[in-house]
Amino acid sequence: MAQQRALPQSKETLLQSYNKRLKDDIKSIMDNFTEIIKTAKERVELNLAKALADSAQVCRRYHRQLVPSVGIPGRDDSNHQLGGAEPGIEDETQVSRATQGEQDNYEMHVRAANIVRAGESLMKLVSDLKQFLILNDFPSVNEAIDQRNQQLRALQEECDRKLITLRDEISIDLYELEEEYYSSRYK
Amino acid sequence: MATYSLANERLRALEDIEREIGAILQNAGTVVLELSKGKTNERLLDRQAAAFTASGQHLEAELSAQIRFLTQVATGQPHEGSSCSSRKDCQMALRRVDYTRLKLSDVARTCEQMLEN
Repeated sequence: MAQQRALPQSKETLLQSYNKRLKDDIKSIMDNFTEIIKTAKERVELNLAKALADSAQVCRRYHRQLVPSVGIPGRDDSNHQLGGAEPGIEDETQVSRATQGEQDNYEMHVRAANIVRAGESLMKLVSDLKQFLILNDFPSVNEAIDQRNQQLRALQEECDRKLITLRDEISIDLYELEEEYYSSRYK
Repeated sequence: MATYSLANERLRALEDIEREIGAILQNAGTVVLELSKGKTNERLLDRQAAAFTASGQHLEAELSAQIRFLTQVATGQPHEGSSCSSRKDCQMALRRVDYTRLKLSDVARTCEQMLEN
């Protein structure tokens, strides 16, 4: 197990901040996504309950019309209105349906924006990590420097080897040229 | 071009993480879009939501591993290694080659002039 060296305070603080940013951003994404799903599910269930209640009301009305009540005091079926007590959103939250819809719409927008903001924050974190890696990943920096040194040394050795070969060939030709020159009338 | 494998490998891993972040946001958008429809495709919803959750966990694990690695290798000191000396030697060798080429071209020109005369 690698031992933890004593990092300078700034580096350690920086790495801890990276961890914190990571945890916060992931948590934000997950929580906001979960809440969006939950809110959508609750509204679907409430709408379904509302639809079922409306259907039950309609059935009761037609039932009373088909089978009128007899001898029940205080009951006036003809004036019974369909839009009586409607179990649903108003009973749950004490706000109107339209208001609740607006609230849900705004909440969804805010949560979606939070997810996007957390995603952008994660991208920034990855960019910071790349920069930190390039500057502080000593094993890879050492390897890069070694490879570069080997490349340059290999190129230098190849240049020198070719120059030496060239020198040897030219010296042979120069010997012949000197022979020719010093045995001519132009010397 | 030298292959700086170790550094490139980690940088490529971080680039994959960036792509995964984009994929996560796309999954979330697909799920919300599907929820907004009147008739939802349950299987698609389940699949996208499961992919979203799995990607989120994978992302957190990968980034934590990268931060853990940096915690182990970072020293807080600047790296003072360089390849300046070998680069200088290589430049000198290339200068020698250029000088040799120049001299050989002079000799070739002289020989041609002599032959014309």
